[in-house]
Amino acid sequence: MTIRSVGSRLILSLALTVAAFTDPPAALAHHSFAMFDANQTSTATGTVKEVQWGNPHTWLEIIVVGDDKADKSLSLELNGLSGLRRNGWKPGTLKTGDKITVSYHPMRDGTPAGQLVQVVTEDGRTLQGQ
Amino acid sequence: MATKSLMGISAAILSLGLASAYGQPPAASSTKHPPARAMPTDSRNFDGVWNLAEGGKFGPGAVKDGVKYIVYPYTPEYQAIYEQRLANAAAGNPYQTAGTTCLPSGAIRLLTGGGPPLEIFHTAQKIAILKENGGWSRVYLNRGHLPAEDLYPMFYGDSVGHWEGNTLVVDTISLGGANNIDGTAPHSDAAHLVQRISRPSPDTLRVEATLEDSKALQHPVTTVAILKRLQDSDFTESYCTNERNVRDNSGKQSVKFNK
Repeated sequence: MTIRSVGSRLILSLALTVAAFTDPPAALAHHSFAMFDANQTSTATGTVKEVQWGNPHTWLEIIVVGDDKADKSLSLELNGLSGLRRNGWKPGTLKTGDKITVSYHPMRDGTPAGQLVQVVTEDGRTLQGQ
Repeated sequence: MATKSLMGISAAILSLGLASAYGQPPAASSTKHPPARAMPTDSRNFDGVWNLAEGGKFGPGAVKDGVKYIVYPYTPEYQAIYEQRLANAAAGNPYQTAGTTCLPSGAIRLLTGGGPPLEIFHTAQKIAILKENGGWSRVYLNRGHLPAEDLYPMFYGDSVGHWEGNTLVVDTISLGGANNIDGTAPHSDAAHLVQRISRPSPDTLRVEATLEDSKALQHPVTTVAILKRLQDSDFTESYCTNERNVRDNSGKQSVKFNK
């Protein structure tokens, strides 16, 4: 599998307490992010299956090839539309079939999902997920 | 001859107008952003799109068990509620605000709480504030508070305003739709918010907010927030059409996967 986990030194409380100090940035305005493990940053290379452009969060569905050579789905949560647009995203920034590399905070419960940190496109563009 | 020419020009203009109105849509703008809206010169006009730049916290910050929080002068009853929420956060189960279900975050957080930008519109009788992800708040300039029998817990409450020089004084009661001061801290149905809003420079909005709550707070708390004008004034639609975060009865969050 092309997914690998990279232990980072982010403070554990980040995921637990984003809502504690008034309203955080737009990326953090909707729900708690406790389900994502902000201590871990995983990366994956795959193909865009679907971009669900919407609120409260945009979701990116990608297909990655596992270690067993089988296709696996990965669901990644992005910011809401307000924050994405102000970070340079447009509805057609990513399209089905695009080859991308993503970094993300994985789910604590091990399900195949996460919070997108960054995406790098095949032509070298880098976009922030939050 | 002159009349025919004028008629011809009029017909051409009319046909262009009709084509625009009923036929081909206007071409997409080639500019990166739409032209900036004319900046009001009247200091009493807050028209524009604004975003929190600094300030806005109603108390000092602190950290306990890895959880950051704001210290408020709570009564014992509300201090207990607050501490329970903080303990839950430390255990990985943070408090879920109204915003977690796409509802507004409420009047107390509207101007001073940050998040997506807001836009202010003036009319003779009211000032309307649109939060990009939180709907409309209205400040009535032509009346006092509604009678008690008309009030109920609202997200933005009943807001009335008057001018003191170039400062708009907004008085808000009947809050409770989103009954928290920030992302965690509670308030009661006695919350009373007074905001003094001024525009010290064309691109700066200053909001001094005082929150009193005779049930929850031992004394009022105050904050000052500075908002800056955004030139990129387009808002996105903000309706929640794709909620994939789910939470079970124990509070555990998970992701809803597509079939």
